[in-house]
Amino acid sequence: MNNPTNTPPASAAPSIPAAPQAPAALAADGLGKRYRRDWALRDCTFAVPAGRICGVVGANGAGKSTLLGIAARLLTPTEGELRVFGEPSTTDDLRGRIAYVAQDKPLYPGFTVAETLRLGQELNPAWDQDFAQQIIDQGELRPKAKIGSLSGGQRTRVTLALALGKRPDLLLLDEPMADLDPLARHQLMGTLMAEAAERGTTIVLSSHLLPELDGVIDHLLLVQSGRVRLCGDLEDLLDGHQLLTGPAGTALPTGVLVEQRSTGRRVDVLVRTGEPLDGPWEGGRPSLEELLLGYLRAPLTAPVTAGATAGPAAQAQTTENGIAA
Amino acid sequence: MTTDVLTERAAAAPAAPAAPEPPTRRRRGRLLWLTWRQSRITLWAIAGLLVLASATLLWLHFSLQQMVDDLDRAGCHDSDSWSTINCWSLIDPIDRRSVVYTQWLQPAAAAVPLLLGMFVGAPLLAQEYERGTVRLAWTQSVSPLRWLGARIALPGLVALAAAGVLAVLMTWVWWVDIAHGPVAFDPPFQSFTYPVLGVVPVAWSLFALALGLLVGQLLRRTVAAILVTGVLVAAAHGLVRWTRPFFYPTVKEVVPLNGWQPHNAWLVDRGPVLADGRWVSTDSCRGHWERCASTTHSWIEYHPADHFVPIQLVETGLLVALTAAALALVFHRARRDGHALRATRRA
Repeated sequence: MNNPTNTPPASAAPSIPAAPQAPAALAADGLGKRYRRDWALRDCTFAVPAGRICGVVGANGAGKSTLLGIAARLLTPTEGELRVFGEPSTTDDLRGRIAYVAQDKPLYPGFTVAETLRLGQELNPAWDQDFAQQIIDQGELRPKAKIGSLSGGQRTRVTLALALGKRPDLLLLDEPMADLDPLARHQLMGTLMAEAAERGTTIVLSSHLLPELDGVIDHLLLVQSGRVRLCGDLEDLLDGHQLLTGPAGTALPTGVLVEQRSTGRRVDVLVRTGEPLDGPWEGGRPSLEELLLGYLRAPLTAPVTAGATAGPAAQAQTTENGIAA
Repeated sequence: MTTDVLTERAAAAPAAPAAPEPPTRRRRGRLLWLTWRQSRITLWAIAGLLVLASATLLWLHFSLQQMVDDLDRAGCHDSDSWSTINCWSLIDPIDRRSVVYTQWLQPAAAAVPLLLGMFVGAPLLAQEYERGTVRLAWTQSVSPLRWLGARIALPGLVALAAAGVLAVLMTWVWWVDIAHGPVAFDPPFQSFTYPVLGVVPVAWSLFALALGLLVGQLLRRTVAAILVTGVLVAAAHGLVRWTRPFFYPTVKEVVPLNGWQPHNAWLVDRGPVLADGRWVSTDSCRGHWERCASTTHSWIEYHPADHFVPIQLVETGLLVALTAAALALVFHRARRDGHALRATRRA
């Protein structure tokens, strides 16, 4: 493998945090981006260790694309700093190490599939033609087909081939799977995970299709209204939360409630603690989807980063600007 | 992993990357492929039109030479002899060929900068931004500035070279066959003559291209950029035409009342000289005819034919400066990055 910098592949040991000395694939410090008057992203402080498959989740307009755009150096942050593999994201040498797939999958419509791969070959020194070609072949695309004549899913495949053929260390995917059919989604997700496992490629993908992330990501970044609400190892985050059901009116310890919903005389709560609660509560560890829905439904109170620094037993904690690393 | 996942390949072929080639030379050459692939239709169109225009001009030149030779051989040397039927039948085709140049080729060549700005400059970046492909280009391993340089350089330089060849041919045919031909009267400062002669057409092409690039980058909409570039280039041309007399000091002279400026000179203004020696404008005589009745002389303000080159140089300098400013702005905006995503939906 031509990438010595990364930590062990994520899928091999998903719950082991990155070694402290290895620079994080992405590390934001007070990152903010303003478009004219309104802030798309504000006060974002988080870290994504190298070698992870990190899901960036949030509602539409939450700032996911802005975050990925900054990492892909298409946007300049208004404030704060983003470091990629320990270097400022503006470093020139990083260009070859980062691949980015934009949400609208821009490609030259007049080019053929083969010419689009040629573009990747001409513009990227580490280009892997065989690998890119295999991703194309897997979708049974004709090399001479014009990009403009392809379906949305086929375009996505070509875009991913272009990104993966670059052999990046960090792969940024903005809503990559939205227009793929189930088979293609399965194939490409598998390819991505194999890539992460074998080359230690860090993959950061945003999505609002929550089910497609389950079983794929091992790190989570929840963005809400331009702020990072949760960031950490997925297992730690899930262990640090409980989805409980109890009679309405039961008291909860202060500071743990994320979201509650009343269903008649009973109430469903998502709490930010792994410890068993006193009282007539039933339930347990939430699924990824339950966790995310709980947070997405809850109004944003303060910028919250749930730390996930220690082992699975540690509870996610609320800090003002704690970094999960 | 399922079998259709590409795992076996990575295991079978442990990537043994060769030492990376020296990046700079390699990448520059490679950007050339991309920009050629993207602009090849434009370049073929330019080449085709240039061949067509050059062939027409060469045909015009050689057929006019032939006809002038015939005229000389028939003894029709000067305009006194032209009233004879014999000479007239030889003059007539020369006249018609000259009209092809002055009535058709000159206006067409004068429109070249406008067309280059609208159809080469304006869509070039507007289309990249409109389709979002600028984000594709900027996330490869080359820097946006280098990409921009290559993207602009190939079509830009080819268009300029074509404009240059056209200007040389137009000037040559004008000088040899029209200005020194037996019939056509086409003073160099005339409205469609001046902008197709000398270095000015190349400078206008350069300026229109740069303006088109800038407008395209600002508007990010191809059709709007084409239209706005067309309007702006036309407006700039009108403005320059209006200020052109002041590009170089004029010559002022007093001539007899019905006197005219020298041959091929450009008359900028004229008026009567009053009995007390004051120079007034013609307008000031209106309603006061008694004041101007006794004048015997007029004053004239004009550019003689030999001001042609200095005026062209001043105009060229102005346009080159504007071009440099527009290109600097284009590169500055590209360097500032932060506007690639702004026009698109964010989620």
